[in-house]
Amino acid sequence: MFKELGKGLGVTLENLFRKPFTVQYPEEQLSMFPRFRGLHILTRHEDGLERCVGCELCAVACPADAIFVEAAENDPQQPASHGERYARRYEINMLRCIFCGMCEEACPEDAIFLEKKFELSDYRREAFIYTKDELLVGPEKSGYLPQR
Amino acid sequence: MSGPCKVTINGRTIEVPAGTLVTEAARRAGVHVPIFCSHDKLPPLGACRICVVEIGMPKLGPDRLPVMGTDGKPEISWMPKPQTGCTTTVAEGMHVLTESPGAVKARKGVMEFLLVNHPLDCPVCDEGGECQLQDLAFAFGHDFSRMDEAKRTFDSEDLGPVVKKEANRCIVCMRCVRYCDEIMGDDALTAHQRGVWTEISSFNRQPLECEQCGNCIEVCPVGALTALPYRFKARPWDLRQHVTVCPYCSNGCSVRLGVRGAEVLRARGTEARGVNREYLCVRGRFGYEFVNSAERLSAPLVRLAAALEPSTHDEAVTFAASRLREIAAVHGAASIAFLGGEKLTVEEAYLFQKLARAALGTNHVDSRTRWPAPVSGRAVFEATGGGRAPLTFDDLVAAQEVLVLGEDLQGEAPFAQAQLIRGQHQKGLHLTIAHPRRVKLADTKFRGEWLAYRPHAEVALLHGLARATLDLGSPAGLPADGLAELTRSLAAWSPERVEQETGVAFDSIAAAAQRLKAAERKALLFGRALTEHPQAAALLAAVESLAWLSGALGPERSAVMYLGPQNDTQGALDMGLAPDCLPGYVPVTDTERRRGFEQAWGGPLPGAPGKTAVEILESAAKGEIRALWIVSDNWIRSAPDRRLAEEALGRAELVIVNDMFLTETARKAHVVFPVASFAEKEGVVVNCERRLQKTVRALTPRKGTRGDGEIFQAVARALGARWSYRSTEDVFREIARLVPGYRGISWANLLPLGTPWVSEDRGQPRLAPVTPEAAPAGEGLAVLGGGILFLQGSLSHRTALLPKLAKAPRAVLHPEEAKRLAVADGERIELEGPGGTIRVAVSLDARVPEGSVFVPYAHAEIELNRLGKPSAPGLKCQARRVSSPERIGAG
Repeated sequence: MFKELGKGLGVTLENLFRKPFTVQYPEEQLSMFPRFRGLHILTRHEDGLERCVGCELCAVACPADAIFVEAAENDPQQPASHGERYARRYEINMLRCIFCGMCEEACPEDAIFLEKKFELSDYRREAFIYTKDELLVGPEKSGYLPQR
Repeated sequence: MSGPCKVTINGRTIEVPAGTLVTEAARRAGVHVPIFCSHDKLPPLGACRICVVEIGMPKLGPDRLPVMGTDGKPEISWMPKPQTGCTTTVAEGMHVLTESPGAVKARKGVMEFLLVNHPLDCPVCDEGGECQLQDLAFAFGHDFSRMDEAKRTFDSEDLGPVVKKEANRCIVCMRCVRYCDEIMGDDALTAHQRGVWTEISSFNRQPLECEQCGNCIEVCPVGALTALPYRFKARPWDLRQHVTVCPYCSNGCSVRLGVRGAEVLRARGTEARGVNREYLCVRGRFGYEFVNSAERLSAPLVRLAAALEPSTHDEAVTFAASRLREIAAVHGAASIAFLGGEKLTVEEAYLFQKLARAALGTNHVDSRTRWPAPVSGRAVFEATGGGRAPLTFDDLVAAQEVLVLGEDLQGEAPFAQAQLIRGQHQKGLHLTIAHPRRVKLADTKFRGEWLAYRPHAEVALLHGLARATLDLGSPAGLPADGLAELTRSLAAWSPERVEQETGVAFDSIAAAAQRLKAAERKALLFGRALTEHPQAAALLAAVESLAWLSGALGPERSAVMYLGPQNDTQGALDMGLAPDCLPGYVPVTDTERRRGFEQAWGGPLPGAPGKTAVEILESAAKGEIRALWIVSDNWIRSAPDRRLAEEALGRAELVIVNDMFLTETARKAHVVFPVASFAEKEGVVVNCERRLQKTVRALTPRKGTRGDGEIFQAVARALGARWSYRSTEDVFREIARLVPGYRGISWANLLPLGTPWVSEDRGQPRLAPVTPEAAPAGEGLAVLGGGILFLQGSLSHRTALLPKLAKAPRAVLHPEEAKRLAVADGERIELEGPGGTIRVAVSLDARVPEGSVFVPYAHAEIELNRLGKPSAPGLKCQARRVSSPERIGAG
């Protein structure tokens, strides 16, 4: 009888002195797993040009119809992307997005990835339509591709 | 060999007519054989080899009978190599395998070869998503390539403002080159180099100098030719696509509008649908942009004081109705006139005249605003054979002899021209083009006969043709007294006199008459050159006589086609937008038949014919007509005399205008109703082959605009009429109940392609005596009006591309004439007509005859009607060089 009691108490005592699991969010942040799918990013080539060519395959692959792309022709003097075509407008409606990652899978240019950011709350509905400015990574992250 | 052949495709036996291609037979058997280079309208070529199949014939024994195998079925001897299905015609007993290991392997090999040099840049290619190569590679190809070498590359080129060429993607199917040669007759494209280095381009690698129709883009199965105006605008899956009818000329081609959001982004042909089956001209393909224009009116305008002020629909309707009521009460209903309507749908045209006749009681209704002479509303109907089965475009392409009277089809009816060129190239059609200018079809490469008559000698030419036809003997069944009278009156037109007045050898005229009479399948085309002629009535009667004499009009069928100026010219006339006809060409004077309409419309109708458009113009300028309602017509530009039109608009107490834009006419109105565009309303339009076709609502009407029909109904109700149409279909149902020719046509059957209407109102053969005297020719240069390919009226000016393609407005002179006037290319001349003067830059072209000046009427800048109303036999003007140093760059 004491044996069982001691065993149970042992579990209790073991957990009593263990480092707690709780994370003091938002002061403390968790690091996400490699394949976590959060807010999208649009990536850049090493030379700083956008990878996205505005082909709209993400938009057609999206089961939630959350992506809107409007393509345009590059100015040969100041191209935005490799090739002739780039996305003039690229918008994702995060209220519709279901974070399935189909856009990432459809993208022939490795231009769109679902990254780690998940804090997507706001007070206005319009703020959930993420435009290209918000999605495109900074030039300092040129050449960055998330590892999957 | 004729008669049906039994063919077995993948074990399924079907019967097809002899001469059918294997690919087509397979399609009928429900087997898909991929194709790239093969095209319905083009002869077989076999360039791409993707349609390879295994073909075998029954083995024949020494007795020429099939050898039977052990299973009792004929033994098949298979051809040792796969064959191209698109160049092989079927034969009795043929066996075809499309899914055998041999056929599949061959096809995969071909696909691998096609992709050897293809860049696979689908993400940036505009064709992506609707590319046949993409689809077929997916369906039939490998998912790998053994090609390790570098791909051959070309530079991309802009072939003019319309075509973007990316030769890397080209699979050299030659569709574009062949389409351009055989159907457009432009020979603008060619293949440079050979083998793997074959590259499609223009001959001199300069921008294309062609009709800019973009059909090469349409037929390109890959993304080698794409449209610059649509470049990177959208993906096919972004677009809601709606098949509707083109708003431009009277051919009534089907167009597929691609709509994203509230914007039309492109117009394309319709592959297997419509009269045109994928063909579109430059206007149809690139002329949709006015729908998206920011200049469109978005609120009704009412002139309460001095200026037009934005208002609401209810206020505008109340104002218009109360003013109409007042004017009718004070001056009588005969002081109100309704004009225009050639761009309305049939239902709207019907309501427009019903509003005039039943709600107001005036017969002053006319859609033919451009006609300078008063002509009966039945004239065109009778000249084209009444209610007989009309000539269709399929008849046209298969005709043996076609006579085009005075019309430049390139400018007025591009699809009819394409049909003729195709017939000439593929089916042995012979063309006779009567036109003072050397128009495109009169080019020697089409091997036709050009009757280059003197400007304004239409009357003499037609009488010459009639006389020559009469000399060949008259067909049976023509009325004897009419024939005798015609013979008597034609005696005044001796061969010498015809020759002298037309400048055409009588032998050529007689030969043309002989060909037309002898041909079993023939066609007689005419259009604005005759109807907008000061002697239109005589000309239309002469066309009718000529048609009866030559057999173009028979007891059952008509081979005469009228090519009107707008997409629903025919429908407007059918619906009684003419002062002497109720819908269905029922004469207003016919008390018996009028009663049907009176009962249906619930009130008496005026029984005296009203005024024609030109008479309305004159009486309105005199102040006799006090209220005008002008619909979808920029009357200041379209009326035969601008000065009179301005006077009329200035004097009228009430001018109501329905338009999409604030045109010059709308600026002078008291009420302007903003209306929906062709893409925003449904209804029926009737093309030149009298075919009823339904337009669809591709997008919701622009905010603040309404369909014309809704406006007519609102005003009619405000006037106290008890109209209660809930939809366009309601109106059409009433038409189908009341109007001869339209009776019994079902609204549901009009998509995608209705049938041409026929009616019992056929009339007897009629031969009108001709006018013996020729009108005295005036002094000066003969003014030749005419359409041009790139522009047609106020809508086309509101697109980005078309005015650019049309280049600067020019009057065209023969170089000799220019020398006489001492003007050089690009300098300006002043033309002085009976009514006023215009100034315009000139260009020189020997295709315009001496003694005349060609002034296209489609340019916004050239106000041809400022010269004044033409008098018989045609408009003459004095030309002189403008001495001021202003000079516009040539070209």
